[in-house]
Amino acid sequence: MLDSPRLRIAVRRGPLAVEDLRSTTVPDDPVQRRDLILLERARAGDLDAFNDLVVVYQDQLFALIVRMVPDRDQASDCVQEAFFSAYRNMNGFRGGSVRSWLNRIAINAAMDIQRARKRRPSQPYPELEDESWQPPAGEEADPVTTALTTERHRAINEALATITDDQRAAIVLFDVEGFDYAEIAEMTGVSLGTVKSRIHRGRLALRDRLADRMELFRG
Amino acid sequence: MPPNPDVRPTSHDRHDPLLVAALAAGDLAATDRVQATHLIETCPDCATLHDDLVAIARATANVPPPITTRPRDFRLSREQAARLRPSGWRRFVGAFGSPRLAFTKPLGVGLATIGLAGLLLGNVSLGSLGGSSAAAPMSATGASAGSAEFNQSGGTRGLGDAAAAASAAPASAAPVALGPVAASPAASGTGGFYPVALPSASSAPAPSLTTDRSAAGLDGSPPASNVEVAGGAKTTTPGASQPTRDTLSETEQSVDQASPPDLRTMIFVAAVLVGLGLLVLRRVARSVTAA
Repeated sequence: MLDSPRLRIAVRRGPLAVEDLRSTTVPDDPVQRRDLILLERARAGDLDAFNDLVVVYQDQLFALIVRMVPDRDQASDCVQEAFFSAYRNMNGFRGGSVRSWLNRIAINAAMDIQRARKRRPSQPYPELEDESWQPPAGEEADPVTTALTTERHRAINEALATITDDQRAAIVLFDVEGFDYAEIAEMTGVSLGTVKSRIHRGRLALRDRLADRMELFRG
Repeated sequence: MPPNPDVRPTSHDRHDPLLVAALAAGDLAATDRVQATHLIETCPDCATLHDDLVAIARATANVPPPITTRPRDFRLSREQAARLRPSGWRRFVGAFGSPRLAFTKPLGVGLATIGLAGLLLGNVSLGSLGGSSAAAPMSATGASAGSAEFNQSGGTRGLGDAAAAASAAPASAAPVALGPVAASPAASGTGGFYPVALPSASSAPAPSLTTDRSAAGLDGSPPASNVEVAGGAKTTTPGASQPTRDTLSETEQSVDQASPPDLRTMIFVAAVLVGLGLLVLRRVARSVTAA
């Protein structure tokens, strides 16, 4: 039995390596490697290195947060506070993806701001009234299609603004930002099942809000 | 009120929309997937819901942010960085929240657990052996006085050994509240044994009592009301029992104060304090860094 070819193959393959995926993938990813180098320099007191990280991620973070806090000023404050917090807690970074770490800090800041906004309600989502922005359209874009797309985006944004904060955060992180369930669970500090449940319930809630405009999305 | 015939629950109302949502997200497997697939195949409303949810997910993925341009640059200035950099006690406490000192959490938990376990087990073992810190002084007093004599059956028996044994008496026997001495002359018929009521003593002897034959009236004299306690204190008959208790408690207190603290107990207490201190520091560090 010891001479069986199957065993020889198994021996030749060697033992299955059980490795920390984070530690193995970080050096292979040039983006993460760059981020870690910048963070390490920032930890050593190099403010320019930290500001390089800010430059790399400020647009992405603002785009993420402005979907969760659709008010320009509040979203801006939120992102600024997230970078402040990141700078304060650089030593608390436990490895892994710097982008996920920054996202997590920003999401927490957004949640805090939303809680504060609920305690002190003001004009809800004034920026949604701003129609100055139009989605980029190609030269060949049909005006009807462009108008339909604009209307669809506006409907989605309005509906997103009316669902719960947790559901909105989960849907934005999953559908828009493209994070997977595990990453969202880590960022938001909840279980995988909770993330799934929030996404499912959030989509059902969106469908309720969009019930009278579903023709925009069908076909 | 008659039921409205127009509002009738359809079969779709009893279907689980979350199941359909999970199917639309591709999160179902095995039995649930079969059930959900059956639902959307047999129920047109469920099928519509499924298609709508897929369309919404697709549309959401393509939706641009409501505000595309960030209003300002978020880079930190030198002044902001200096203000944000932790200093003083914040830096010290914050260090406990860093990954480099992550071992302080298990260390704190371990120390606190060991300390608490040591204290608990120490007390339990002492209790099961019948010893107590309060009983020891009394026996020590009796032993050191060397006068623990108990008159029984006409003879005098030295109770030095018994006094030593009493140091292992249960705690319940420790406060030897001397009750009134039943110094009745009629008891002399037993050959000189005078029962001394020791209400709180369980099975432990009360060796630190010295009964005096002459005091008890065995030699024909009227029974005296005083029973001398080894160590100099005297107990009295019921009418004079209060001073005796006071004197005894004073004796116990003085001996208690003189007894040295147990080194093992001190070590366990220190372990508990250090462990809890580390945990508190980590908690404070977390709140400082979160602030």
